[in-house]
Amino acid sequence: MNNSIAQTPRVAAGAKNIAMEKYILETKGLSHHFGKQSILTRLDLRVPPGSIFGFLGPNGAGKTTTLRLILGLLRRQEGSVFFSGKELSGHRVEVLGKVGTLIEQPSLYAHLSGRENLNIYRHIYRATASRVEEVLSLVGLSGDAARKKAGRYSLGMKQRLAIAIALLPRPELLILDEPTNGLDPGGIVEMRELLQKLNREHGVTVLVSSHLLSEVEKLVTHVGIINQGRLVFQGTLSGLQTLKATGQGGWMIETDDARLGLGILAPHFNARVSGEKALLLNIGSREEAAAANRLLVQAGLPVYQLYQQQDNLETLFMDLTHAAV
Amino acid sequence: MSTFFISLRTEFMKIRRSAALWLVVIGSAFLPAIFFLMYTTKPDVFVKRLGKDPWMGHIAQGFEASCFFLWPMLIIVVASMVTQIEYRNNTWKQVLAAPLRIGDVYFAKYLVIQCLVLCAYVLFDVELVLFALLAEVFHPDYQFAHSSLPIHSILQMDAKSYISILGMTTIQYCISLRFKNFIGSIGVGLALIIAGLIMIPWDKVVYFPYAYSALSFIRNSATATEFKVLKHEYWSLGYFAAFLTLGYLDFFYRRERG
Repeated sequence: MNNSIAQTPRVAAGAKNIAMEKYILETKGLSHHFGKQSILTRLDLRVPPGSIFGFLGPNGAGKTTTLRLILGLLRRQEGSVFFSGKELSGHRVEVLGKVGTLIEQPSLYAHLSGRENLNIYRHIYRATASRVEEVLSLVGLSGDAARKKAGRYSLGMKQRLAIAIALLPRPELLILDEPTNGLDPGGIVEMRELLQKLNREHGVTVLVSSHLLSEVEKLVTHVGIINQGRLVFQGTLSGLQTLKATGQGGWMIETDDARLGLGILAPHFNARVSGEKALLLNIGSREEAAAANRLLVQAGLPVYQLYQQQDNLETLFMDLTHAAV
Repeated sequence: MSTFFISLRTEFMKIRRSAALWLVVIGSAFLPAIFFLMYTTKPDVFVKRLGKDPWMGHIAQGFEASCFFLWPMLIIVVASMVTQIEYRNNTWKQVLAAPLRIGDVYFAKYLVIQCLVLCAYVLFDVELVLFALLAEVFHPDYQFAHSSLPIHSILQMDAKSYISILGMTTIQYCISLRFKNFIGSIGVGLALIIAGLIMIPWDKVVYFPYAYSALSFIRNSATATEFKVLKHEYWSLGYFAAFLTLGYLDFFYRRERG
C-alpha cells in the first residue's frame, strides 16, 4: 500500500488552473450523517464547465448520498450546493431546469410507452415535441421501440430511455449515478461514446459516478475520488496520472514461496507480499527488476512471471481508497 | 404556464391507462349494475317495493351502499394507486429532481385524486339512472321513465357525501404518501373504515373522519329542501384543511425524498 497517499484531498497540478474558472457545480463543506454515523465530511466538490467529471469511490463511500444532496433529494444538514454560482436552495426551479439527472436505476413509468414517458418530462422541461424525437434517435430508441411500454424494455433500453429523459432539457450539466450499472460490455461502450459525443458536440458537462475507475478512465477529463465520505483526490485526469508518475512503479513477481522471496529481496528492495505466491516491488527501473529476478533465481526460487503493473489508474485508485481504510 | 399547471398536466398524463382510472370506471358502475341485476331477476319484489315514485327509493339505496362502503373503499384504493405510480416505478427521485416546486407536485397529485373521486361521483349518478331505466326496458312494470328524476335530491346527497369524505380523502392521501408499500396504506385505511363503522352508535363519532361518509347518509334527509351542513361535516372540512397543510409540511420537510 502506498503510504504516501494521505487522507486529505489532493489537488493535482492541473487543478490549479481550474480554481480560476467558475464551477458549473460546487459544493462547500457538504457534510451528512445518518444518526451518529457520518456519511460525508466537509465535501468540497468542484466540477468545471465543459468537463467530464468522474466521481469515483468504492461502494458505500458516499457517492449517491452526495448526488442526492446536490439534487435536493436528501435534506441538507451542513454545507451548500451551487450551480454556476447560484445556490440550489432559493433557485431550485431555475437551477434544476438546466440539469439532466439519472440517479441509480432508471425512473420510468412502466405502464406508459417510451414516448409517453418522454412527453411527461417534455412538459416539465418545457421542451418541444421535436426534441422528444431528437433525444429518441440520439439514444437509438426511435421507431417501434418508442411505442413499446417502458415496462417491457430490456435494462439497456431502460437506461437509454432514462438518458433520453435527462437530455430533454438540453442540459448544461448531466448528473449520472452509476449509469452503466447492469449494462453489458457493448452497452457500456455505447454509453461512453454517447457521453463523449454530448460533451464534445453539445458542450454538456457530465458528472458521472462509478465505483470502477477502469470503466470511466477512458471517458473522464477530471476525477474526484471519495472514500469513507471524504474527498481524497480532486483534479484533472492528467493530474492523477502525474501523481502516479511521481510514485515508484509497482512490479509483480510470481514465484513459489512469496515469504521466502521477501526474505531474499527485502534487504535490497522495497518489497512486500501480495498473496501466497506473489511479491510486489516498488522499484524505479527495469535494471532493478532484472536484479531482483537474478537474486531470486540464484537463491533457487523459480520466477514464473515478472511484470510491471498495468499502466491504468486502478492501482492508484485502490491505493487512494484503501489508504484511508 | 405556471409550474403548478405543468405539474397537474403531467400528473394527469401519468394516470393514462393506469389501474386507478380503471378502478374509478369499474368501481362506480359496480353498485348500479348490482341493482340492475336485482331489478331484472326479481321484478315482482322490486316493482312493489319501489312503488309508483321509484326514483327516491332507488337512489336512497344506491347512496346508502355507496356512502357506507363504495366511497370509503374507493378513496383508500385511489389514493394509494395514485401515489404508488411513483413508488412502484421508482420515479419519485426523477420527479423531485425536476424543475418543479415541491408544493406543485404535492398539490397536483392531491387534485388528481380529487378529480378521480369527483369523476366517480358523476359516473355513479349517471349509471344509477341509466341502469334503472335499462331495467325498465326489460320489465316495463317499473315506473322510472314515467316519474320525474329528483335531480335536486341527488345533487344534495352528492354534495353532502363529498363534504363528508373530504377529510378522510386528505388523511388517506397523507398516509399513502408515507407508505412505500401499498399494502400499508390500504391496510391502515381499511382498519380505520371498520373502526368508523363500529363507532357509529357512539356520540363521539363526530370526531372520527372515517365514519363521516356513513354518518352523512344516516343523519341526512335526502328529501330535505334545505341544505344544512351538519357538525361532522364541518369537522370533515377542518380535517381537510389541517391534513392538507400537515401533509404538505411533512412532504416538504421530509429528510429523504424519492
